[in-house]
Amino acid sequence: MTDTTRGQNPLLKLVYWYVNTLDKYPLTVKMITSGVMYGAFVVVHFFFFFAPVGPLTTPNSQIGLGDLLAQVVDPLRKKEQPLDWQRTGIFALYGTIIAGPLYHYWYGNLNQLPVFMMKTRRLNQHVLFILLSVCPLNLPLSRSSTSASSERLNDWESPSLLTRW
Amino acid sequence: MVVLTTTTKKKKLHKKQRTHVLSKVLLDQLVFSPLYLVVFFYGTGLMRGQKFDDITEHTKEVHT
Repeated sequence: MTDTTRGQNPLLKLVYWYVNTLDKYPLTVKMITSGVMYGAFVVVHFFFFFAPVGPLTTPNSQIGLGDLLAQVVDPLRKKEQPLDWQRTGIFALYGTIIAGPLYHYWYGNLNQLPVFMMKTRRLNQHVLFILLSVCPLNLPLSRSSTSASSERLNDWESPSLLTRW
Repeated sequence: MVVLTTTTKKKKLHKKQRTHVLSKVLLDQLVFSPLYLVVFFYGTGLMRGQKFDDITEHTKEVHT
């Protein structure tokens, strides 16, 4: 913890501590956070994606909420029905081992991707030009110079030419 | 004249930034999101001990 946090609000201290730890161990902290979020709290993305109507009542929306919260606020769940801890555990595990690293690497490299695409655009244009214009013209021309009859070309060469194109 | 050049440069930079942000959003929504949904459904399904075909059927049934 840094000296600037001394004597400050405990919540602010916690935030500083979290940010510092995140800075030191990005992947581990993201994995743990993601696990907790999936297991317990709200994941907004799925909430909006799957629940256009009646956000807390449709079965789909339960995917969108952190699993534990989804079970607690589920109006279809009976009062005496125990919480499904196994399901919560699965969601937490999924958040920890799959979602956390996936987000870390994807959003970590997303800044570089458009730059890379811009750099390779020229090459892509070149390849596309050859594929779409030169190849379809060149293939029939090269075949027509051989001794094969036009009927034979129509019968089984044309589909293969199309496929190749 | 100098001011004009600077303004043009700034505009160009701004446009570049906008394109960069837009392409990032597009990449995220068109490339990552569909793949992530597949990973999510199959990942959680497999962790529950379901078979591949069962997950496909269940996803079709509930989410289409």
